[in-house]
Amino acid sequence: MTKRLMIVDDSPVMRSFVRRTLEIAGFGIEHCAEASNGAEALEKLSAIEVDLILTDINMPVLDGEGLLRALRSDPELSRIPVVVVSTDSTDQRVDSLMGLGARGYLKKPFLPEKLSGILSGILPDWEPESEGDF
Amino acid sequence: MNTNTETGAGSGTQVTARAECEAALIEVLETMFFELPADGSTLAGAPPGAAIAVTAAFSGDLNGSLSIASGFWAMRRLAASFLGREDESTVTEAEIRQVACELANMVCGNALSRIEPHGRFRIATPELCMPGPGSRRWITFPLESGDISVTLEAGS
Repeated sequence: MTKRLMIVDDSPVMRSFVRRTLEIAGFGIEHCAEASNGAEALEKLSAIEVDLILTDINMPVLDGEGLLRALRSDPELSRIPVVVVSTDSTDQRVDSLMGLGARGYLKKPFLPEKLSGILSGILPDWEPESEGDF
Repeated sequence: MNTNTETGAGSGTQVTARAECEAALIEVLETMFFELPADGSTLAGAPPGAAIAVTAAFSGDLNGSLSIASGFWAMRRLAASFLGREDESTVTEAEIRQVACELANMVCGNALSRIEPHGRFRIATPELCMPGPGSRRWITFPLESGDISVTLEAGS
């Protein structure tokens, strides 16, 4: 089973890290789109379909909170599960973002196993094909 | 509340800040960079020979900044680990800078969550800086390929 992803983060090296983590963990990726902020993500989502969005919070132009609000207001896009990956993990912040529709929250730094566990819970049919070696 | 990484003033907050900065740096390096710092950090002025320094400013319940500094080779090795490159020479200078910024971002967020577990903060995009002389005290850890230093200054 492969999935189509979008990773939204203003740090290109963090986008690369997340993608590599998923690949090494054995998640099948059909396509991985990337965006450097929420606005760019929305623009790309008007042209492509994805099964999951992984997004940072603190980004220029449109941050992760703004992205969640925009996704929630769109009947089509609101169906896409979103996992927030951020250094900002205060209880208030997490509650706020989950209230905006985020399906999972992953605090940086994170162990690959933690990311795998969250994704398996959200997309149960997307299981790692093999145990990776980090 | 004022907090920094300097000791000697008898302030519990200051001691906690040093301990939490150390813990944050160690956790980030071990988890995301697969790098285990050697035991024994030192506390001193601006690290000599630091080729790369990055500052992440933060605001909210505490206002201030956290800075990271290291030599070029140490940061290139960290960048190679982060990016999964076996050949360090393939890591570009731009990638080294980007990884240094991400490292500062993660250490800053981690340290703040330890100092003020229920606080609210916003961390600005980290920027390159110069670790010039000043009153800041830096915590330095030896890594296999050189030292890495961190300092934090904050006030309410």
